[in-house]
Amino acid sequence: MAARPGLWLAGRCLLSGLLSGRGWRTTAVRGLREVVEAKDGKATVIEGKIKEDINIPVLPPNPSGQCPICRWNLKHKYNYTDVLLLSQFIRSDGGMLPRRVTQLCTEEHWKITICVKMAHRAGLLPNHRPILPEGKTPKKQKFPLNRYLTRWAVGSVKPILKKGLKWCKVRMPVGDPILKDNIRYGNKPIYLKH
Amino acid sequence: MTSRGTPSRFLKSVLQNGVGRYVCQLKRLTFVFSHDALTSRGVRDFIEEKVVDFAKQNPSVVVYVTPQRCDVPKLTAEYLNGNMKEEAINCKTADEIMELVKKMVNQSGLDIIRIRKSYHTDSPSIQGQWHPFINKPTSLTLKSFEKINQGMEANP
Amino acid sequence: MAGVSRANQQWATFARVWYLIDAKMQPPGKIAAETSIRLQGKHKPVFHPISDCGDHVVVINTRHIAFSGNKWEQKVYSSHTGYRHGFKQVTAAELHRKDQTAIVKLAIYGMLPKNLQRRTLMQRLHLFPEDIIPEDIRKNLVEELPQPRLVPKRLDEYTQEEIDAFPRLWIPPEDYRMK
Repeated sequence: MAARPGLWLAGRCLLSGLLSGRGWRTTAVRGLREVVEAKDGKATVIEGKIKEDINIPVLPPNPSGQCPICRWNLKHKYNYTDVLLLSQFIRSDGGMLPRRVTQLCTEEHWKITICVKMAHRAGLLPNHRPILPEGKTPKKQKFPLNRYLTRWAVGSVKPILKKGLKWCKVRMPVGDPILKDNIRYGNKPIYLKH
Repeated sequence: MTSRGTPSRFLKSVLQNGVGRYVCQLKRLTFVFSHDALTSRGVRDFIEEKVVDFAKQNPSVVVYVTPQRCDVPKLTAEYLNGNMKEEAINCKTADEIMELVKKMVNQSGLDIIRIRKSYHTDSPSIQGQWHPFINKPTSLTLKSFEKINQGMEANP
Repeated sequence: MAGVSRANQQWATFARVWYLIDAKMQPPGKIAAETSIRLQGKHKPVFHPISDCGDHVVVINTRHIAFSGNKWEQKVYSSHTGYRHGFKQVTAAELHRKDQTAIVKLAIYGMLPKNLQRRTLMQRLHLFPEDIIPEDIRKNLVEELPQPRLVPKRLDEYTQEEIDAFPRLWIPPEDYRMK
C-alpha cells in the first residue's frame, strides 16, 4: 500500500511534475524512494517514503552533456580504482543499475560495467555483495589471493601450460582494451599483454 | 682476447713534469748510419740539413753522429730515467726522421704499456669516500619500522 | 679526515646495508626488480662487478602479494624432477598455497645474473610470509624501500566526509526503487 507521496518537490531539477488531482503521480520525478515497513498491531503499512536529499547537488561543469559522464567532463578520466564514482552506478548487491535509469550512453555504460567488474575482483567494493538467502553465510575464502586489473572471471580461465615458441608466445591479458583511450601521464606505453 | 695479462701501469708523469716547470726527459740521441748505403740516404740528408738546427734548439739533448758500416741505420734515444729506445730509420726521408726525433723529444721515457685508467689522482678525494649513509637523512637512525612492530604486537 | 682513519672509511664504504620492503598488495615482479638491484649493489656509486658489494634485503608480507590480470590461474611454474615423467607444472595459485615465499623467490632468482654469484646473492635475501621477523634481523634493518605499486583505497576505507565531498554525478528518478 503505497501511501500518497509528498507533493513537494525538491527545487533541484528537471520536471516540476504537473500533478493530477488524484495525487497519483505518473510522470517521473526526481528523487529516491525507500520501502519502509511499519507494523501497527495487525495492520502492516508498507510505505514508499521519499528520501530527502540532504546534499545540494553541485552543478556539473558541462550541463549540456548527454550522459552523466559527459556532463562532468569525466570521459577517459576514470579507472577501476575510482570506487567513489563507480559506487554511484551500482546497486547495493554490486550489479549495475540499468542504463535507462542512469542515462549513460552505451559506451560509458559498458566501460563502467568493466571497471566495476575489475573493482569487484580487486576487492575494492567489499560491502557490495549479493544478498544471500536467509540462513546462509557468505562462503569464507580460505586463502584469498590479491589481484588487480583482472579481465576475466576468476573461475573461467585455464592455466597456460604450453607457452608457445619465442616469437608467438601465449600472452596473459591484463586490464581491458576498452580503457586504452584513458588519459595517461608520462610516456609509458600501454601494455595489455604480459 | 682480454688484455688483463699484459703489463700495465697507472697514468702518471715523471715527477709531475710540466706542472710549473718542464724538463726535457730526452738526454742523448745517437744516429748510427752508413756512409754509402742506400738505406741511410735519408739520415745523411738529415744530418746535412737539419741536425745542427735541431741541436741548437734543444741544448739539453746531446746528439751523437756515428758513421759506421751498417745495413740498417739506427736512432737511439736515452732518457733521464735510464730507459733506452732504439728505432730503425732505414729508407726514411729527412722529414720523416725529423718527425720521429720530435716525437722522441716529447716522450717521457716511461715504458709504453697498457694504462689501466685514463685518469689518475694521487689524492683520491677531498670530501672523503662514499659510504652508504652519505646524503641520507639522519632520521634513518631512529626509524622504528611500524609495519613490523604491529605484527609483533598482534602475534607475540 | 682527522677523526676517521682511512681504514675505517674503507669499512664504511663496503658496509652492507639491510633494506626492508613490504610486499603487501605488490606485484612480485616489481618487488623483484627493486630487490635484485639492491642485492647486486647496482644502486651504489662504487659498484664494480668484481667487488662483492651487494646489500641484504628483507621482504615481508610475501603471502599478500598481488598479481595483475588472471595470472594466479594462468601463470605456470614448470620444473623437472630429473626422473622419468618428472615434468611438473603448477599454477601460481597452487604454488602460492604450498609455499608462500616461493613466487617472490623465483622472481628474484630469475632477475639476478646467471653466474656463480647467484647463490651467494640469494643467501642475502630474507623472505617472510607475514610481517613477523626474528629480532636479530629486525635489529639490522636500516631503511625501508618505498612500495612500487600505489595501493588503491577500498570503498570502506573512505571516510563519510570524503564520500560526501564527491559530487553526485546523477540523481535517480523518484519512482525508481533502489535495491
